[in-house]
Amino acid sequence: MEYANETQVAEARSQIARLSEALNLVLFGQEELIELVINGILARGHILLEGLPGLGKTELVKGLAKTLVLETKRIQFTPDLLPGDITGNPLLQEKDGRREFVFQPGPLFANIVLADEINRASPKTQSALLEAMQEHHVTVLGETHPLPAPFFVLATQNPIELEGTYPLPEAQLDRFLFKLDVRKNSVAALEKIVTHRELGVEPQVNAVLGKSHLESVIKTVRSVYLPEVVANYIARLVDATHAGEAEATKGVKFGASPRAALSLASAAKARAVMNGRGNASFEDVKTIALPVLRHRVVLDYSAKIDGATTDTVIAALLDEVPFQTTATPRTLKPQA
Amino acid sequence: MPDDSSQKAWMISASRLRRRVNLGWWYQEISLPLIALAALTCLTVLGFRYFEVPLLVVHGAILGLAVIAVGVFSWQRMVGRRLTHKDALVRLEADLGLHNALTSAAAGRGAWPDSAIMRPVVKWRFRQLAYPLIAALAFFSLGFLIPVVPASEAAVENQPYTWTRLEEEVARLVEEEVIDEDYAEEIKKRLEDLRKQKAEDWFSASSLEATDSLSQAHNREADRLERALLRVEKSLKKATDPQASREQREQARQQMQEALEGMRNGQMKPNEELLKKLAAAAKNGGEGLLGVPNPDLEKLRERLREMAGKFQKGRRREADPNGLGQGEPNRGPGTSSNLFGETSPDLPLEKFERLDSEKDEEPDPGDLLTLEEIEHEVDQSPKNPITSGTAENEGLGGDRVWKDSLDPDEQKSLKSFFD
Repeated sequence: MEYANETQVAEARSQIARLSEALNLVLFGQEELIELVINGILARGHILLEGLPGLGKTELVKGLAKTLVLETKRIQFTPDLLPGDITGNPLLQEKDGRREFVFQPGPLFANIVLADEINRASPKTQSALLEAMQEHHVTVLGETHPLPAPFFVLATQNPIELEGTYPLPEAQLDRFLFKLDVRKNSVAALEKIVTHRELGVEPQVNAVLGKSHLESVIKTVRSVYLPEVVANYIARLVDATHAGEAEATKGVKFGASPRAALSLASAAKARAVMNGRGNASFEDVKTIALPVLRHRVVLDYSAKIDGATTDTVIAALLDEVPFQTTATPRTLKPQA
Repeated sequence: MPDDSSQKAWMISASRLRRRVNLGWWYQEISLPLIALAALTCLTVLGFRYFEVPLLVVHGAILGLAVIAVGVFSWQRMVGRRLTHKDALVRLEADLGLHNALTSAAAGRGAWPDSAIMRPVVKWRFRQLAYPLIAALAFFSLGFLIPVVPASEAAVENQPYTWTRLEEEVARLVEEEVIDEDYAEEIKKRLEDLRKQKAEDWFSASSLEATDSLSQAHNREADRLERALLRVEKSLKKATDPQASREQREQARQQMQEALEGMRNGQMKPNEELLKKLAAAAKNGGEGLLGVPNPDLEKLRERLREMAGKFQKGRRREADPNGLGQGEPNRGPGTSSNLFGETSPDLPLEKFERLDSEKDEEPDPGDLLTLEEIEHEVDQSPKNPITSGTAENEGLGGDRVWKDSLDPDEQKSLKSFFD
């Protein structure tokens, strides 16, 4: 396998920096969120954004689409939305004197799909999204239609007003690389928003990264070196999410899947490039572990009653699982 | 800094870390076995000192081999935790926040970081190092520092006092040329026979009674010889008195002869040289002794008195100022009068009471015929508080049993056993 060299990494980093800069002009005070979204895109993953209404989730996705110069579709999920409404339907058309079904692609046929309030659609429609997210194609009437590359789903969901919603099943949650919590803005960020924005007017965003450039950066990310010891750390971390494997995961009902390990590796590589390195590291894994694992770990009722959340469990797990399996003898102490 | 020198510096640092961590593990593993070995060595040395086994170079060599064996054993035990060079590199980059740059560089996937940021990532815990070593050295030293009385000396120190006293007295009488050496040998042999018992039986009732018997026999012999010497001295005085009549001198000579005969027949014989002189004097007879110069006779008589005095001295116990060590074990003053509670007032114990036999015919031996009030002989005299371990009074030990509890046949049998 050919690994990325320093020049490629440096080039990719500069392009990522331009993208990040542009997105920070769209969304004020959400630098961390923007960084993670870019991280997810570079790792070729789908992202689930969860937060209260009006925090800029949709705005961020729209801004991302504009900066990347990619085809974007937005689907507003509602309970009466049917699978065909998102995948597309065959329509009866007359062609050369004959009437035949011609497939009309749905909104999934785009590079970036914004699935707004995904938990409001019925499970039937949600599951139609599964194949598209995982296989990057849709099948209608036995005919498979590939989706354009690159293909990203950025879904949003609201943690309140849960009446009449359909929580995403674990199988579908597992398809998302990251689950990001969109938090409220600080006073300074709010002040900046009030000063620079006007209600009903969308911010002006410049395109900074073409499709080919994005594919080049993604290629560089894929060729980042993942040391064996880091792979071992990822494996131990994912294994430890299962009940009984670690002290921190006593209240865990279901742990993370192997797909989580792959996601961690991929996201760690992307983060390495974002930081101008040609190799993934322990620190990269530790940084992206929370958004990768928080929707893949299911707690049991006793843990929930005790006030534990997946975030606290994963934080404790990260403290518990060491980078190395080799311990330090009592006769030595770490040098501060 | 050139990449090569950085690589070299990081490799050296990783090797140093690997050695330090592995040494730390090894020391941790060896600590407990080393302390155990030191404790075992301590016990062994104490045992050697107790049984008076000399410490040789070979023992030191065995100890050295044991230390090496413990070292190898500890090294084997830490195999699973041993740090490799690769692990050391990972440890360095993890602790220094190098984002796995060292592992990647070692795999040829990047440049070696600048070695200027290099620093030690672990340091020794000196307390953890010192405690096991101090404990091991302390155990080892204790083996040599704890006072140990060798088994042979301990046995001698703990033997019955009478044995020592008898030995010393007999040795003194021989040294002062009072008694014949054969008797001393005989006493020594008897004492050796007693010592041949197991040490834990030295203070058993039978051993102490045998000791008492030997002591009594010795005292009787000493008394007899003392009386004989005084009688000889008295006879000698009379035999050499110029104012005495011929018959009186002859009578004195005969008495002297009889006394000498008694000395010869007894187990404890006087000094052989003295016996010869006295025999010669007795042979010369009453008249013959008159020719002997007066100072020589006076000297002989003085010697006889002196010898008799030595027996007195031997039997006079030296008083311990604390009252300790006097007398042998006795059986105490008896049970308390209230041991069985208050006596019932209803019992007609003031006078003899005849009991009618329940049987019509003659009563059988052992039937209770009368009740009689018996006063126990309880020592009512006030006693001062006594220190634990102090002999209350000078008893006679087994002698009391000998005289009061044994019937004549038993006494005879016991005497023949010890004689």
